[in-house]
Amino acid sequence: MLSRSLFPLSLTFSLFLAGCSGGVVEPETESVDEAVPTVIEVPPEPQVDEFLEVNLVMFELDNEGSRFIDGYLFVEYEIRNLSGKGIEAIAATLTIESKAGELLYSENLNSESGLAPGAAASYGLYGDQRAPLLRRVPQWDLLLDLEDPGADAVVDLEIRKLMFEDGDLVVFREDVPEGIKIEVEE
Amino acid sequence: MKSKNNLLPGLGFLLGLTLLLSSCSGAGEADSSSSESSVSASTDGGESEDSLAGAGSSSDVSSTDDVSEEVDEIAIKSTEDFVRITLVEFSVSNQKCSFGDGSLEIRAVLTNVTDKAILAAEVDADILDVFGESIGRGFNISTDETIAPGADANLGTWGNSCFRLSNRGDDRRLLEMKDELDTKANLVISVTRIAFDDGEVVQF
Repeated sequence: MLSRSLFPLSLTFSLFLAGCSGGVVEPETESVDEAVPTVIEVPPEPQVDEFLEVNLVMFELDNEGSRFIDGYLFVEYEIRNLSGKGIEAIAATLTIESKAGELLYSENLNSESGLAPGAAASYGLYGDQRAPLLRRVPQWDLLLDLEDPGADAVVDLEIRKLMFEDGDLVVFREDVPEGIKIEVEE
Repeated sequence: MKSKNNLLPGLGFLLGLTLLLSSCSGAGEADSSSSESSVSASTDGGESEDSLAGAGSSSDVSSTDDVSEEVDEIAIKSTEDFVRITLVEFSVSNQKCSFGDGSLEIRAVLTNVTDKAILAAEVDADILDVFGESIGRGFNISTDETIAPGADANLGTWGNSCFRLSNRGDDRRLLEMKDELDTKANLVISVTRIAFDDGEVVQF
């Protein structure tokens, strides 16, 4: 894409150089002039917002936890189906990074909950789907220490793939993120 | 799937070696020793050398100028040459399994199709969603039961055993799709290693 878009620029630049060379026109310049580049229509890559409206509803931490759990992470999104077709499944990855860019949490959150055209549904880690956190995981320890998660960290839900009820598949990102490497401190 | 992935570098090496042999000695002139060494090189650490030795004769490797056909002609042994796996049950239910919220059943039968006894077979079961991505952890359904030639062994959740599912994350996904498991999930069973009673270990 970039090389294609730069091609007219390089052509212009060559012509400009030819014009500056005291009227001596290089034969190569003429051949470039004659070679009309073939324009290839590249279909635009699909964008998530053409299909879904994704809004963050809640991003909270419960630092109290329970008997064996040091805390809980709550991240709730509302997803609305903007396409004209029913969605059968969504592949998505939730990540939380500190303001310094350190990955604190990552989880692939694929879902087979259907979503009718125009309908909206909650998505993520909420209610009893909250994510349990252990301080023995260094990244989660940092996460649990955030005083104001909304201000101190960036949460992102990357929609990677959509499967529609008619079998159509839209891929925004091919690979599956490996996610956070959990290193438990002894 | 895994066996193919493991063999790809070996096939690449074999392809390169075949090209080298063709260019050095002319088409169709490789001796049997070079053929055997190329086949051995396609195994993992030589553990399955016995199973693959002789799989391709020297004429197989270099009898034609078309390299892609040469590669196709080599009989590379796969899991089906050693075992046959028959799926008996793949289901999810809300029945309690230990202290979990639900139960996953994966039952299969492994048949030894070789003429040697199998001492152990390492077998993994992965559940894939509609995107082909793994749903949660893999499930180990290996057996260390001695399996005589032609005999069967049970793999997975036979009897009272089951895989426990919790009510969160990917386990919950499985529980939610319990009535549509056939359409929303794919079970992939992979044999990774087989140990025979003569000491041979075949790795895929």
